[in-house]
Amino acid sequence: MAPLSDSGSCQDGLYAEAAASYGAALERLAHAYEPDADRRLDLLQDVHVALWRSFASFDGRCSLRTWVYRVAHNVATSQVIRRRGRAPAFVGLDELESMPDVVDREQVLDDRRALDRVMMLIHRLDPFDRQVILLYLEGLDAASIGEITGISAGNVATKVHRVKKVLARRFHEGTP
Amino acid sequence: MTDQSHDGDLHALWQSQSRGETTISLDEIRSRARRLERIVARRNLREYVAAAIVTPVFGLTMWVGPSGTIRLGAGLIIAATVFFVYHLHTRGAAKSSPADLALRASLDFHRVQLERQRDLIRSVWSWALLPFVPGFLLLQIGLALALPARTARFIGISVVFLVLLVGLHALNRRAAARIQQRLDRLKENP
Repeated sequence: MAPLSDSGSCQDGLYAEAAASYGAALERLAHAYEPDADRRLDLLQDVHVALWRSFASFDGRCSLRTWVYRVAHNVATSQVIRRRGRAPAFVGLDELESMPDVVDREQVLDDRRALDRVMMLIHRLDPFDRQVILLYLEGLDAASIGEITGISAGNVATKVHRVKKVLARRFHEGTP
Repeated sequence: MTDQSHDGDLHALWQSQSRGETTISLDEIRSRARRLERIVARRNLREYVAAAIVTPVFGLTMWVGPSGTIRLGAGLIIAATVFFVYHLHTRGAAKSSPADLALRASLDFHRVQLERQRDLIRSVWSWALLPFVPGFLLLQIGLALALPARTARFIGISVVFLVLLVGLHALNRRAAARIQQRLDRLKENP
């Protein structure tokens, strides 16, 4: 392999830093976009490749975190849109709120199953609403989510509030 | 339960699922990037090779064809092929760079992707299918005139060809309209 140039080693260094800081978040993101295990690994690898390639042009105009999340969500959304014809129809937040609750109270006691149920809801969501919710679940505030997604912080807060209501209704009703 | 503790529960539940166990080395990343580039290059090459085969075959027909109609039809198919390859090339050159993934906010990126998909579906008819119609029909007419006993067969082939084109066009229009609806929804309620 040819020796690395300065820009090449900078690209590698940025990638290594991003992978170390956001590797776990990227795995969760892949899980939220792709239910199938093999395709999930493919998606995760595609995200890592896109990140590494993108760092050749990193110019610091936004934070590393914003850069990483934008690349990851944009790659994942593109794949979801491309495969849409073969996947179940997505729903927007309006439909999500009006979907009937089928809560099995036994299930909410089990974290694993609760997580599966959150994941099932997320997999049904329109890719763009999904981005907002995933960033919220990663613990980002409305302003940061707005910077990554390009929608206003107020709009982010509204979307997050609506999804939280749906989740609360489905996972917390009846718990002590 | 308070709103804050509910938030905390959700974040904890979400973040408990993965601790970054999947490691991908830089060598793997580089090799996958090279593989992806090779796949794209091979796909383009396949289309250029197909064009390179079509051109001499119809070029020969243009040269030694038994009638003016057949020669003209072959010439039009060559012209359509050149037009198709030109579009393929310009479309390939207009693709976004890896940095676009980070420089565009997701809403903008999502919108551009949908617009690109819609425009491709809308336009594929005009640069990949329609240009071949005149040449194909002229060839069938020329063949029917040269072999009158087989006229019915050439008419049948032409009708099937046109029906397929119209059907494909109708399907594409529906798909483009669905994408446009999503774009409109995105504008109204980002």
